[in-house]
Amino acid sequence: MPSFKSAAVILQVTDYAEFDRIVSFYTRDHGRLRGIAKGAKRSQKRFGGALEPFTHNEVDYFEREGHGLTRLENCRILNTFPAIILDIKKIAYGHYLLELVNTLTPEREKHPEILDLLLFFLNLLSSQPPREDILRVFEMRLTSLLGYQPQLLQCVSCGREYVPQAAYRFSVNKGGILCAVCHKESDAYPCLSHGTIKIFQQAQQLSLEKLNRIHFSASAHGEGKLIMLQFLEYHIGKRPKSLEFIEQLTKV
Amino acid sequence: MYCPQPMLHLIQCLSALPGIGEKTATRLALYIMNQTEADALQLARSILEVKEKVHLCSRCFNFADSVECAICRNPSRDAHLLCVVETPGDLMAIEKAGHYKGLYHVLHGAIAPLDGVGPDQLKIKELLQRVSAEAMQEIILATNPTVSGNASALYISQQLISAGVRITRIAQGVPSGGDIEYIDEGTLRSAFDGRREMK
Repeated sequence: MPSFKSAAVILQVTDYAEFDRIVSFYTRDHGRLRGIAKGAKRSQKRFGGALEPFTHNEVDYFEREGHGLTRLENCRILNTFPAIILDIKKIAYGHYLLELVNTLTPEREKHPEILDLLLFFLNLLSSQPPREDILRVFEMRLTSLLGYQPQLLQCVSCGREYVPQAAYRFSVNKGGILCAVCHKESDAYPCLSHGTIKIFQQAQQLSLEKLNRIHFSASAHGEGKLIMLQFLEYHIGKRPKSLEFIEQLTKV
Repeated sequence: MYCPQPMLHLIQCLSALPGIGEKTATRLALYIMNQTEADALQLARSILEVKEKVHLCSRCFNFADSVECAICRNPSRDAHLLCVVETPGDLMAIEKAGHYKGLYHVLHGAIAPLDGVGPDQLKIKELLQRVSAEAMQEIILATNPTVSGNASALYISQQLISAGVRITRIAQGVPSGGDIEYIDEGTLRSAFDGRREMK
């Protein structure tokens, strides 16, 4: 049975049988994996708090032939992001990041840039007051890394280049902006102002360390949230569960 | 495996219980077979009785055999203290320790956004109503020291901020008989943050 050691972030944990836990985790070397942590509920010595969501670990695991689940042997905590777990909004936003990675990434496909992106955003969430607009930037970067980046530089229907003066709308199923000739003012496509398109273009193009500089105005965030949530729902096939909790906190 | 149909059915029912596999279920079924009819009947009756007579306490949502549970009915308990726990199992553990003498409120879970469990799926609304209706002086948040438990505690404390009661969280840190060398960094951080002056 081949065994591995890799840096990983814990995405989701569910109890299994009396003492075990099924863990979904994103590794640097093998992408997203699911594994069983035997006796994790009973033995605090073996895993301690290492299997909590958000925890960045060095994980020892081995593959079992014929099993879909890997077996987690040990975890060495690298970072628990304590500032996230002490703030209710940060917990809500952080869960949304974890859920997107958990639902959008294919299992066992190596993509270290996704782990870097997740760690960067968890650090950002940890080090600043909670901002919902960083979720929009994360959505844009994650979809780009996974190969279905929204087309914002030309009309996704006729191919004409984006011109800042024209009126654009967004097509969820075609995955990009539509020019006035193609959208024909149809309400089927939500409007997208130049300000929002510009911010999203920055979110796609800026290097990781400069993403922190992106700030949405309230109207740009409203517009961007509407189209990105529709776009993600189209690709995931359902609405992310953690959104409901974010909305509940917003009402409070 | 040859087995008469009723016995097979009993094994299937027993192996559906948590922590019991087919082997253990077979062992238990054989044990029940060897018991007297009266003993087997007593077991069957006690299972039925639990389902018929035990329900949730109307006040704290602990298990109860009348409208209110024995703890809520007990006049010697401190009615100004309210301890919030995730499950009846947590309540039983605290009661077993025998130190706490106040009342309880059982949430029946913890906030877990990825599993679709939010405040509306828990007994949080009932807790808020209870705090405003009863003369509480302190709410002790004894949810588990996990991300879900913390989220629940943070949400409740945010909701109770204007209620004018003292809100506390149970301490986190090194367990009795524990070994600092083997304790994870999160627990150690909590232990240092919550250190107390020696008297």
